[in-house]
Amino acid sequence: MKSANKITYESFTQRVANRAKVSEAEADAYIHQFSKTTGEALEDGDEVQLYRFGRFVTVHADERPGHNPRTGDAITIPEHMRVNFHPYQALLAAVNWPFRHLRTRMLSENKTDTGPSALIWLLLLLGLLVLLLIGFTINREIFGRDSEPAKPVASSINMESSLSQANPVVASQAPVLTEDASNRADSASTQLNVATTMKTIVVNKGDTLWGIAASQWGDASWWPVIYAENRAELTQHNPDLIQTASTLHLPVLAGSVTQPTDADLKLKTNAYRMVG
Amino acid sequence: MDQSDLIKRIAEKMQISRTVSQSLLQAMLLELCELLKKGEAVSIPGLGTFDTVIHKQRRGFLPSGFQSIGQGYAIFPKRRVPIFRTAKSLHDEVYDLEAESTRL
Repeated sequence: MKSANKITYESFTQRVANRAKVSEAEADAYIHQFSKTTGEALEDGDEVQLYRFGRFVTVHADERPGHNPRTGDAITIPEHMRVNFHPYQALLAAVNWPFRHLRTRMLSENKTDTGPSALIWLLLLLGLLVLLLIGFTINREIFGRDSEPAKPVASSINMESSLSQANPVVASQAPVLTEDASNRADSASTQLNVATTMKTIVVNKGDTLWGIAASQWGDASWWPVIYAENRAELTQHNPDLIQTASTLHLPVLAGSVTQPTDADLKLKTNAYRMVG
Repeated sequence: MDQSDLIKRIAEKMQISRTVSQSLLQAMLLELCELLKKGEAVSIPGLGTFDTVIHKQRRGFLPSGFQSIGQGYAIFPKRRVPIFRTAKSLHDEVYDLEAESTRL
């Protein structure tokens, strides 16, 4: 068992001589005398203690079975004495210098993981749940206050919104078609009626969508429906800024504000999504 | 035998003053310590070789407990420790010590 980074004895004596400010021959003689004296003391069964370095002791080894490493034959190793070196804390700390930042970690009961991290995970999960709950309640406050009985599935909402946005276009094109072809289905004629009965309002100074909805329908909370209907015509897509003297089309509800039908409620929900 | 006894004995054998003996011993031990800290191995003739080995990280039982947690299993980190390999001559001289003393 040879170490690759072993320094030569000559360089070691040179270093010792430099440190103690003596000649190399003296240092060499001293090191030889040191090993001789230590060896003699150990042969006497004494132990040698070196301050802040370690201690050499002789220990007794009992008779034990063993193997000849060359032939593999079983042999009995007789009881004997051997030299042990116990390093002191100062030397241990110096040698362990590259790994001095590493610490012993206790394991939890299942012996696979460290202990305190489980509590942190639990707290994180709890915080996430609380956030989800807050988000859900806010969502209900905004969109579901008036339309609690009818709570459609998300995919159907998307389909309805695309339909309701398409409807006005159909309604506006309906008159042209009915003028060209006089005989049309009943549905087309009802759409014509809807288009003709659509009310138009001119915006005065100081008017708001809220105020218009309150004055026309008697319920101010329906104002986003007006905005959604006229969004394409407005110059600024901002419900807080409507231009004076511009015209607004008041959409016709299937029911009334006090007794809305399902279609009206869907219209309102989509309109609220649009104004955010 | 502690360090002062050793210094005295070497000083008597070499016929030098104890102060010089002490400074030389200290220089030697410090130099050994520094070389081991760098990971070098040093062999001293007639005594043995000082070397370092790296112990891998391992799981083990800590009977005394750690801080206030109490006893249990723990992960001991990777560490480097000094080792001493006894020279052949000293090993052989010490080997039969017990047998000779019992025979006598």
